[in-house]
Amino acid sequence: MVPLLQVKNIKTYYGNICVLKGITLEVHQGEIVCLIGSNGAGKTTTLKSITGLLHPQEGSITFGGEDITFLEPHHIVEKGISMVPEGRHVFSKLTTLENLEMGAYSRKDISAIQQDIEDVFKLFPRLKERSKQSAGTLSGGEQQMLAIARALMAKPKLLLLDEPSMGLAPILLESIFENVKEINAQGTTVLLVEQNTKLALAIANRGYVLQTGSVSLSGTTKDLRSSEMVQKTYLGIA
Amino acid sequence: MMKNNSSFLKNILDQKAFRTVLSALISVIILSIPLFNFPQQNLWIRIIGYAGLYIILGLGLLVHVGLAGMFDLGFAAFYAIGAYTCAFLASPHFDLHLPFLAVILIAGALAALIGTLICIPVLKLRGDYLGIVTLGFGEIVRMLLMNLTDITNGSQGIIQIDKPTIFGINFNNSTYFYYFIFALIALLLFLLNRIIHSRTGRAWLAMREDEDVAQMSGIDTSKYKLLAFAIGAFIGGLGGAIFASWQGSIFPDNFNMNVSINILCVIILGGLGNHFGVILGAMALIALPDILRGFSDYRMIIFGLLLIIMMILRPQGFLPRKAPQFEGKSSSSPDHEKEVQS
Repeated sequence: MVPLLQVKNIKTYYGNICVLKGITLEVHQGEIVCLIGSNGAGKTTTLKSITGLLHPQEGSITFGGEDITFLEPHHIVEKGISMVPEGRHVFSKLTTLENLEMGAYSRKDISAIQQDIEDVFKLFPRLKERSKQSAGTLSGGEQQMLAIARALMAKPKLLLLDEPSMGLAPILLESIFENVKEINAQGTTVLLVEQNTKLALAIANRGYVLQTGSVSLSGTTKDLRSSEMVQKTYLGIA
Repeated sequence: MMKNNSSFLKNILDQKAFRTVLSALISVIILSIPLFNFPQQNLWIRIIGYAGLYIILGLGLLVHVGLAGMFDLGFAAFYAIGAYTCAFLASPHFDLHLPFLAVILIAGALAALIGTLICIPVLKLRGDYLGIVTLGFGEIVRMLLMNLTDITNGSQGIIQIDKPTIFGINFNNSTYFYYFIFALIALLLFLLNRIIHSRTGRAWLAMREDEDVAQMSGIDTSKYKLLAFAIGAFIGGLGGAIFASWQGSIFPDNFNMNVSINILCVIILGGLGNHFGVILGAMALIALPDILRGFSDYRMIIFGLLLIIMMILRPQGFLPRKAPQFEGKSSSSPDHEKEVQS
């Protein structure tokens, strides 16, 4: 089967500094795939390369069989890749509802947007209660929910999540990850970048371990969990 | 005491009815100044008309700074480009005498073109960097005007610029310019209001709130930045052409950095991001010092004091931006649909 997203040996630079030294990964339709690794391993850079915020100097990225390596971000959104950036970026002066509408900016099927807003409110009932409130006044967890909901409003085939756990209370963490599972169950493929390795491995089907810009290990989450290296480095076991 | 004042002022200024009455009142006062005879009428026409010119410039800069969130410290450059275009095309300097409506449109278009060109290399820059680049650009333009003596006549400036004739009406005194300026302001306010509530306006809103997220929401930020810069520069060019033909003579020093800063102050005082606030800002900042001229030496002290009091009582400006109210149901909002389909 042709993978939904195929990243082939990409090398991405910040100026002269080579951050991704040839990353290869694929995401199949319907999967949850996680990227794990420590700070500076290149997880976020990988996501930014996929969404077109950065362009790799070598290698290629194909999405649904189409080369998207050098497309601009807004075209990539239209192709069906939506990203939730790290650190709960919301339009803080706009209301929750306006944030969601902004998320649907790239869409042409205006008539369906209202229904989709109802759908994301079903997924995150808390946001419905806050729909008229400006996003800056939401709690951290609610802002993370809103950031995810806004990304969903673009009707992505592939959702990229960058560190959804960052700075969240443990109790919220689990509910956010439940939401991710539910989003996936409803048909959206997910590529998840996460430092909380344990949680990430718990919900993903497969995973890639990134170390200083290259993939050091990959496989099903079961394999990864039993790998001694992952246990030692990321799970803190033995 | 100050707290009370502040909330009182805030309450009044935020009332919709009050705003309507205020804008009606200001319009009536502005329109009636040339109609009645009173002492020093010509002086008043010049003062308020000049403030009107700054309203136009303020609206242009507002597109850059207030709407698109692009910091611009060199707006006088576009003003200068508009003014010199007018001077080249309608004066004995090159012995060209094009009709004013053509001149003003060319002036705006040229400013827009140069604005777009200057914007291309700085598309990736944000915040302060853009401010520095535009600051430099403003000075470069002034230096060129000063030193390209063969073309611009250097510090001698260009004189005897044609008085406009529109539809057979010869603009032979300030009253015509006065009405022309305020008619243009009305038109610009109407158009800007339309843009703010369009798809473009929402893209700008998203950009100035959070550029990364705007990009990830599928907004072509480069396109909308260029568009904002072009529109703002166009308006600045219009202002320049009006200034040149009204003054009749222009010099490079009419467009120094103080002008850029003054325009910026106008929109900040008016409440950054609100196009109606610009009117109050220009009246307070540009007209007031002249109105206070009667107090001779004390006027700048009074003016400074007023500014300080103002900034303490209402730091967000007279009429700050309200977050635009999107209709709750995006699917049923006709405006919404129309914009997306177009």
